[in-house]
Amino acid sequence: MEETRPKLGLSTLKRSLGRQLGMEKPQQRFEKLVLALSSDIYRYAYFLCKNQELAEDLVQETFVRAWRFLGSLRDERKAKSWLFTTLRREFARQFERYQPRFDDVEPDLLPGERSSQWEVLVVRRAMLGLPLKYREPIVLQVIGGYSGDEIANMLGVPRATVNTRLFRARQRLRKIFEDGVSDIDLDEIEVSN
Amino acid sequence: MNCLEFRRLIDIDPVSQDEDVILHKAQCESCAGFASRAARFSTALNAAARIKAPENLASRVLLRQSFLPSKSKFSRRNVFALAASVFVVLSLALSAAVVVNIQDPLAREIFTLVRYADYAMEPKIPLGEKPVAKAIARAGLKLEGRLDKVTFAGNCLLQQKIAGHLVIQGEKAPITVFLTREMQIDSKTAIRSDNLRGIVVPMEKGAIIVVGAAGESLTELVERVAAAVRWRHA
Repeated sequence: MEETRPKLGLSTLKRSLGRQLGMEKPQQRFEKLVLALSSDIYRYAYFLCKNQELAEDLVQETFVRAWRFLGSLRDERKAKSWLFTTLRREFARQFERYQPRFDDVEPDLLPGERSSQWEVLVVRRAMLGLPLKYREPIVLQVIGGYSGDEIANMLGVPRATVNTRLFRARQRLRKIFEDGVSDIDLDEIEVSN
Repeated sequence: MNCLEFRRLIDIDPVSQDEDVILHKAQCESCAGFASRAARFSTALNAAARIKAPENLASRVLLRQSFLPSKSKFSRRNVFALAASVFVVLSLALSAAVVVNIQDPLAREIFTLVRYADYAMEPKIPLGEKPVAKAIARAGLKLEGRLDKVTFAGNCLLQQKIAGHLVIQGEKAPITVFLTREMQIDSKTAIRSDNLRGIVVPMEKGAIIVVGAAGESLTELVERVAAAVRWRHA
């Protein structure tokens, strides 16, 4: 009895190979990125521009660009920093054109936080009150989970500069959190490198 | 490592796994207290940064992307069309926030999706079977029968899951249909906003959701859709 083998067309082989190599169709890749990262991208956008509508616009523009250049993303593990960098550039581009108005209305808190709502609001206001050069590294550290080296790479500044900014930002925020002190001049905080 | 260096490092990176940091913390009671206070502050800082993203943000991003060309090059016409659609979407979003007063989160999500997807209402020429089947297949279902007067077929995110999104011409106005395998509904439910009516109908697995203007025969449409779609498609 003759053994019959299943026919293997080129498309079947490509699909099989694609699965083995972890490759997916662009649409599926994109959907995964959006589902997994849109909230964090929005948070980063909000802390950059301090405006909810503008933050959403920035997220939309970021993902439009991501879709256009999805092919250049070779490693999914780098997707988040790729999107953060794209958003940062988009923010800089939009900021060149006009100065956005800042929000008075704050976004909702997520339920189930361990700190008290009041403490969280105090810290958030203090974060939003930081100058951008201090706000951005700490947001990248807290939301993005990036190391000092990664932040330095993303911001294009030396690691020592990132350390100084993180130190000063945290000092100020912690003072506000612990003592309610908010009149600290950040540039006056001494950092021993 | 001395206390000053320790505290400086904790203020730069409170979760540092540096051996010297861990060792100093174990040896110095004062610095251990400092690290404990810093950890409490870090908890508050993390919570402060975790702002709530807008409802349906991912859906809106995917909705917009579904109208982008799949090729990497944009034509000028596409860019203008995109800009126009964004303008319309944002305008409608703002107006929708004023008129929609739906307490149920699912109903609110459904009506928001319908209002955002105004572009889906514009086409008037019926589509062929292929794009309709494709949109339904992406939601994990299979088109087996004939669905007439479908003028838009795409996908959207409903409750964070891919759903089929169809627009079918009704007697008075276009009717939006969402098809999902992922949603578990106990019983048929009527939903309404100020100018839209809808029904959510549980299927063997998933649901059909139909939203249209008051006076449209929504139940009849649900029956047509249910008869044309196979719900156990793997």
